[in-house]
Amino acid sequence: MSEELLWIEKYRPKTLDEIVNQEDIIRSLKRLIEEKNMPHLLFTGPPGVGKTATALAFVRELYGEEWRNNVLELNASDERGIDTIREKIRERFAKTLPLGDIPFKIVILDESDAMTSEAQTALRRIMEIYARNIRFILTCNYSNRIIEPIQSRTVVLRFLPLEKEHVIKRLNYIANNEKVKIDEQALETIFDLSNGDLRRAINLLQSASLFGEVTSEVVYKVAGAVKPREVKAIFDSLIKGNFESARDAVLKMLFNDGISGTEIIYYLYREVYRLNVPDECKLNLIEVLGEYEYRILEGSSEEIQLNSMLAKMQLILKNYSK
Amino acid sequence: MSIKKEEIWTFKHRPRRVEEIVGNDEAKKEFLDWLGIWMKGKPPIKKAVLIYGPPGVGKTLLVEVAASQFDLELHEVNAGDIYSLEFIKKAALESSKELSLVNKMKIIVVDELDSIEGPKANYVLNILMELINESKFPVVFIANDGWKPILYPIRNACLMIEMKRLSNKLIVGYLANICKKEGLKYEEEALKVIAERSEGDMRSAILDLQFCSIFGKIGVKEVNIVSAKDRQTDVFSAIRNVIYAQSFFSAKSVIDEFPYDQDTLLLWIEENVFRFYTNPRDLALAYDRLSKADIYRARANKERYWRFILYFSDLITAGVALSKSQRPTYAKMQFPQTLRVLSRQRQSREMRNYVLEKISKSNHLSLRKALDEIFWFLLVMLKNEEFKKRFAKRYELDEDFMNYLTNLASNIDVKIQSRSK
Repeated sequence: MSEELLWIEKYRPKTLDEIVNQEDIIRSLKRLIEEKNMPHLLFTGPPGVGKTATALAFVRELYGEEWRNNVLELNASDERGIDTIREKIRERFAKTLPLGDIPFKIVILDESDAMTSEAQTALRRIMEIYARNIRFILTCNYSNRIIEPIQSRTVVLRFLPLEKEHVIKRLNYIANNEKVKIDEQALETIFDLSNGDLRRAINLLQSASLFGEVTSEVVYKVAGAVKPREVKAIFDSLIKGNFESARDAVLKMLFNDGISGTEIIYYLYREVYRLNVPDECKLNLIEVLGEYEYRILEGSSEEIQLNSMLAKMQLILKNYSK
Repeated sequence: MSIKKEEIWTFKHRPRRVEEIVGNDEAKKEFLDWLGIWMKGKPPIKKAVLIYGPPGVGKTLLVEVAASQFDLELHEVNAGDIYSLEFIKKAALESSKELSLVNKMKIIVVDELDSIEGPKANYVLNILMELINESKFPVVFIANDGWKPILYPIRNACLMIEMKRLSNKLIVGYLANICKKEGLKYEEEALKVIAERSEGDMRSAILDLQFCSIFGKIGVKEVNIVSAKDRQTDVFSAIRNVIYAQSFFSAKSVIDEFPYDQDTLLLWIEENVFRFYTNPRDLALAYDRLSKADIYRARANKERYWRFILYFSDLITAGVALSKSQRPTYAKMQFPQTLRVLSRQRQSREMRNYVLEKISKSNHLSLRKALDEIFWFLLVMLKNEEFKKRFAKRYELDEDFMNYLTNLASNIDVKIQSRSK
C-alpha cells in the first residue's frame, strides 16, 4: 500500500470505535449493523467532525471485505449535475445485485448541501425509484439547505462539534506517534485556530511540525501564511492608491497561480476582517465583494469583474482615509 | 524600390558574435551553457531547447550566430514543412563518423513551432518527439508562444528559454549605432518614437529605421510619415480616442476604427484605462461600466440574443469616456497582458486540478474542499524538502508538476525566526 503522507489521511478513523465524541450516533449505527438494515441517513454537522469518516467506517463494518462492491461514493460538488449522478447510479450501480447477505447497496453522497433545490428534488425521485435496493447516506454541513421532502425521507443524525479535550487528545496522540515536539500552549493555539475542525487542526499540526519544534508562535505563523501572499498586498496597494500594483497582484493570482475569481474574492473577504479601517468601511467593502462575486457568476470575464471590484474598493478606502 | 538581401539593414548590421546581440542576457547564457555541454561531447539531460518569445527579439538570430561562431553545421527547417522535417530527421540521426566530407558537429533547428495545428498536428508532433529522442545533435525549437497547449509534450522534453521584448533604451541605442555606421543624421526623439512603436521588436525597428532613411535624415517628422499606415498605431490611436473622447458619439465611433473585434477592444481598454484615469472616482465609474458591459456580453451569449451587444459596445466606449471628471493623466499605452497569458493560465489551472484530484480522492473530499481546506496547507508543507520528495513519490508527480507547486509554495511566507540549534 502506498504511503499515507498526509496525516489527515493517515489518522482518519478506520472503525466506528475510533470516532470521537459521537457516542449516541455510533451506538445507533452499530444497532443497524446488527439488524443488517437501515433507513436513508442524513449526517449533518460542522466540517472536520467525522461525518464522511463515520459513513466509510459504517459501510466497512456492515459489508466487511465486500464493501467496495456495494458502495458508491459520490461528491455532490464534484459531479456536473444531478444528471451525472443519476447516470452513475443507474448505469454502474443499480444494475447489479448487492453482494453478500445484505439486501441493499449504499450510495454515500457527500456535501449534498452543495446541490441546488432543483437537483435535490431530482435526487428525491432517484431515492424513491431505487428505494428497494439502494440506501443513501447524505452528508452536509447545513441541514437547513436540504429540502424538506428529503429530510422527511431520511433519519437525520446531528454530529456534535468536537470538544477541546477531544481535539487536544487526538493531536497529542498524533504528535507522539510522529515524534513531534509540541508544548501545551501550541496545542491550545491549534484548537483555537481550528474551531473544533479536526481536519484543519491536523493540517495545522503537520504544517507546523515541518518547521521543527511546534510552538504557539510557529502555529500562528503557519496559520497566517495559509493564503496567497498577494492578498494582504492588494489591500496595502489600494490604501496607498496604487491601483496598478493591486491589479498586477490579482492578475498574477488569476493567471499564474490558477486561483479562480470567486476564490480570490473569498481570500479578500477573510482579509477584510483584519483590516485596520472603521467598521462601516469594512461593511461597505464586504458589500462590494458580495456584489462582484455575483457579477462574476453573471459575467463572462473574471479579470474584468475583479479589476472593476478593485477600482470600487479603492474608492471606498479613499473615502475613509480622510 | 527593390533591395538586395545584403542591403537590408537587419542583415547588413547583423551581430557576428553572441555577445553582440543586445538584450536577453539570461536567455543567451542559458543557451550557451546548454550548447557548451553538447560541445564537450555528451548530450545534456534535456537534449532539446525551446526558445520562445515575441517576434523580432533575436530568437533565430541567437541560434544562427552561435552556429557560425562555434563552427556548427546548421540544419534549419520550418515546422510546417513536413517533407523537410523527415529529411532533417535523417540528418539528425547520422552519427558524425558517417559524415565523410566535413567532420563538423551539427545543430538542428525547427522554426515556427506555432504553425503546428490542424489535422496533421499529431503526425508532426510525433516526428518531432522522435527527433528529440533519437537525435545525436543539439535540437533547437523556436516559437512565439511557447505555452501553446498543443506543444505540451515538446515542452516537457525541452529546456525552456524565454526571450523577452527589448527595452526601448536598448533599441534606441542599437538604432543610433546603425545611424552612425550609415553616416545618417538623427534626432534622439525620432529613434524613441520608432522604438516605442516597435513594442520591443528589434527587427521591425530596424526596418522602420531603414525606411525612414530615404528622407536623408531621421527626424520626428519623417518618422511620423512612415508610421501612419501601421496597424499597431491604429490600435493605439483607437484606444487613445476612447480615453480622451469628450462626447458619446466620438467615443462610440472607435468601434469602427478599431482593427480587431470588440472583445479585443475591451481588453485593450481595460489594460489602459487605469493608467489614464487616476482619479479614484472616475476609475471606479469607468470600471463599473466595463463590468456591466461584460455582463451584457455574457447575457447575449447565454440567451443568444445579440441585441445585448449594443449595450456592450456603448458601455465599453462611451461609458468609459464619459466617466472622467478631469483631463486624463499622460501615460504610456500597454499591450493587454491577458492576451499573452491566457494559454499559460489554462495550463496552470489544469495542473492544479490534476494534483487536487489525486489528493481529494485519497481524502474523500470534493475538489472544492481539497482546495479550500488542504491545498494551502500543502504548499506550506512543500517548503520542507524531505516532505516534497515523499509527496512527489506518493502522488506520482513528475518534475513539471513539482516545479509548478514549488513555485506556488515560494509565494507563501512563513517568517519563523531561526532558533538556536
